[in-house]
Amino acid sequence: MQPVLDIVTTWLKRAAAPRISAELTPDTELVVLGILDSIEILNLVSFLEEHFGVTVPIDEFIPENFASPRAVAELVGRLGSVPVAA
Amino acid sequence: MSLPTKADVLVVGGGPAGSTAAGQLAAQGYDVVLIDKQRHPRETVGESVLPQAWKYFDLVGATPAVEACRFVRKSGGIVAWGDQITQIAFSDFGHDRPGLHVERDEMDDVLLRHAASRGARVFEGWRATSVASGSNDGSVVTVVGDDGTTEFDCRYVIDATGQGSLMARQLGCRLLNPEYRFVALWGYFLDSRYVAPGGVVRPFADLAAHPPVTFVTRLGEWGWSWHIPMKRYTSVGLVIPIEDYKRDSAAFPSVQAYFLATCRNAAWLGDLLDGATLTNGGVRMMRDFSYVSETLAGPGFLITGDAAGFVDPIFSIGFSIAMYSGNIAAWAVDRSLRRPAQAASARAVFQKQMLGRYQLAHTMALPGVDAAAPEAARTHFNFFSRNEQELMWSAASMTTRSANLVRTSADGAAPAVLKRRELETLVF
Repeated sequence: MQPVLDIVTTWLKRAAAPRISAELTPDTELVVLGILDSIEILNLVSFLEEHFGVTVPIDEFIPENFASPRAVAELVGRLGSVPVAA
Repeated sequence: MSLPTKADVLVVGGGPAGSTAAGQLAAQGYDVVLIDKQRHPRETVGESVLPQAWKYFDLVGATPAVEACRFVRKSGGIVAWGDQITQIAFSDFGHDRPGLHVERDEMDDVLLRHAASRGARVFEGWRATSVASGSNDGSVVTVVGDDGTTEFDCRYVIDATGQGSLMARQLGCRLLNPEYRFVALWGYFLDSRYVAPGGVVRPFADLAAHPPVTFVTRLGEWGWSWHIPMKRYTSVGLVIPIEDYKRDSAAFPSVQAYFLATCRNAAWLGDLLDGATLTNGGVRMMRDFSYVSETLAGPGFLITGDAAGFVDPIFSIGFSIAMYSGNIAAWAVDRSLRRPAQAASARAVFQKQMLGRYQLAHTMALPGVDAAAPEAARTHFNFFSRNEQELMWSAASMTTRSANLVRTSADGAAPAVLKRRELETLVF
C-alpha cells in the first residue's frame, strides 16, 4: 500500500503544486480544497492507468475515489495492481 | 491554402469549445484541422464570462491574449427577484481574478487565432453537413465550402457546432426540454446606466473607472432579463416562456416593439435603460435553445459545448462549460489514440462528465427535473471544490428556481452558509 501512496503523493505534488497551500498528507481533501479539479482528475487517471497498468472503470469514476491521496491509493489497490516503480 | 482531405482530428466549429480542443490537441503533436462555417470575428451571444474561465485560459496559454483585450471586468452579480435583491462577490469564493463581460466576436476570434498559433490549421467558410462514423478507425465528414464538397477523413471528429448541433441532430438524440421552452430576445444599447457593487447605479461613462456587476431581474413567474455592460454597448436580453411570449407579443406591431416595451416596463431594467438607445442592428431572437443530447460520444466522434447541450443562460455557465468540454474532449481523443484499448472507457468518462454537468446545470436553473437527474447531478456536484459548491449554492439561492439544487444536495455535504448580501434597493 505504502509505495502506491508515495507515488500518488509525488504525482500530486508535481501536477497540482500551485494549488497545494499546506503540507500534503494522506488525508488531505483533494477535491474539497480544489487541489484536484475535474480536469486534473482525468490527468491523474491517465497517470494511474499508465503507471500501474490498471483501468479505472466508469463506475469507479466518482468523486469519493479521488477525495484524498489515501482514497486514490486504495482505488489503485482495489483495482489489483502492483506498483511497477517507486 | 486549400482544405486538406485528412487529419488526425477534425474540429467542426471555432467557438470556445472547438478552439480549446483544437489547440490542446495540436500542442500535443496531433494533426488538427478546424473548420468554421463563418469567418471570424463573427457575432454571437453569451457575453458574461465567470472567473472560472481564467483556469481554462491558463490551461491553453491564452491568458495574456485575453488580458490584452481589456474586456470589462466584473466583481460579481446582483439579482432582483421580486422583492428580494441580492449580491454575490466572486472574491468570497476563492476567486482572485474577476469575471468578464466580453464582446464574443473579439473573444472567440482571439481564442481561435491562439489555437492556430499552437498548430491547429484553421479553415473558415467551410461547414460540415454529415458525419459517417461508427468504427474505431475514425470518421468521414462531408464538408462543404465555396469551392465545393469534400469528403474528409479523420480519426476523430469533434462536434463544436454550437446550437447547430451537427451530430445530435443527425443522430436524432437532441432532446428539447418539453416543459420549459423559452424564447430569448436580446439587443445592444448605447448609453445605458449600469449597476455597480452595492447596487449603485452609474452612468455608462463611469464604466472604465467603476467596474459593473452582471444584473438580472425576474420577469413574471419564470422569465428573467440580463444586463451586461461591455466596452461600447450594453447587452440586454429577455428570457421568456414561449407561451408568455406568444400571448404578450401579439399586441405589438413588431418583435422589436415588444422587446423594447418589455425592457422598459421591467422593474429596475426600465430605469437603467432610460435615455439609452437600441443600436447595432436591432433585436435578435432565439427559441427552443434548452436541450441536451442523450449521446455525446461514440467511435470516432465527441460532442462538445453548446452542441452537446444548453440549459438556460441565467448563471452564465455556457462559456465555461464550452472550454471545460474542449479540454476533456482533447483528453479523451488523446487517450483513445494513444491507448486504443481504452478508447471506449475514455469516451464513457467524457460522456459521464458532460451529462453530469448538464444535469447539474438543469437542477440549478430550472424547476423541472426527471427522476434520474438528481443522482447524476449530485455525483457531478461533488466533483467541485467547497468554494465552487458554495458559489453554486449562493448563486442559485438568488432566484426561486433552485429547489432542485436543494434536493440534489439534501443528503450530501451542503454548504451551511450562503455567502450573499441582501440589498435594500438599487441606488440611482
